[in-house]
Amino acid sequence: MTTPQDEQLLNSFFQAARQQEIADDGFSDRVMQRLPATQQLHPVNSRRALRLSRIWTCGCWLLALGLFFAFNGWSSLVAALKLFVQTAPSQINFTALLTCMALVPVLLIGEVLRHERNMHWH
Amino acid sequence: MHTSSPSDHTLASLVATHGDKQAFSQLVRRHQSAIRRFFLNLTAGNEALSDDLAQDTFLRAYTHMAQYRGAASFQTWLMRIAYNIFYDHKRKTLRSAPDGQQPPDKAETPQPHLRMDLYQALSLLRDEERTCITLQYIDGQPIEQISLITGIPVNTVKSHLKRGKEKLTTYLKQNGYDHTPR
Repeated sequence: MTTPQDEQLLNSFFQAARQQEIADDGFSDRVMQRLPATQQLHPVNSRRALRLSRIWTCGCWLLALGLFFAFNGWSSLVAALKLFVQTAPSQINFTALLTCMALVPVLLIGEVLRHERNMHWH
Repeated sequence: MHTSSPSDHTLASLVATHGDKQAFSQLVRRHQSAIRRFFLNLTAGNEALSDDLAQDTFLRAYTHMAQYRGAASFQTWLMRIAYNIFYDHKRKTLRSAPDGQQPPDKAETPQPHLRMDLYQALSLLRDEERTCITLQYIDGQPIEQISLITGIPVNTVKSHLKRGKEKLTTYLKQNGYDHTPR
């Protein structure tokens, strides 16, 4: 049975060890260099799930295209565009439109940079 | 402008979903000290072995990140991997040792900055006792977390702690630690 004095003795003995911080000294870089490629990350089950997900996405696209042509989507789209062109000049908020147009390339550049940075570790 | 760094959970999600290596690099830098210190204490200060085991821990964490659900803290999850890595290593060395003798984990080249008195005291303990004592006194983990990390039932953790404390206090008293303020 340890007494409160024993507990205090143990606490003071381990105090320095508790505060010990180990300097990185290139350890993190060595770990990063040993990482496997991202493709090897996914186990067999996950790869199967990924393949099923892609098949599901393709199926949805095919269904959407089928419905689009079945319900004469092309003529509806053309009619909607014509209406937009005729009414747009009076209704469009050009400031908002320009802001959106400026944001798109910024987001694209950001995504490319993020991808490049990720590739750096491969 | 103050920008707060992303939480462990956010970084872990980025790694799990996109294999984001930049996010993983941040996690390694954040937790390397605790994991390496944990191994140093378990291997009685063997720095080379500790670093190898710590690297294996982070590699396993990276390849199994999708299994991290965020129920426990990321550090607890990482500690659990570290504990498993250490016991895998122990099993391998036991198998390769003649007559099932346990080879010591002594450092081949003792580093002057390492606290050899600490490692000497810890080497008196059995592996489970050392793990529980290290997790409680050095990493500040409560008993429930120690149980979660090691997979040992709470009552068994308490028994390991009790026996470990008794051995350590006896050792410390025999070596005059109870008289010398440190």
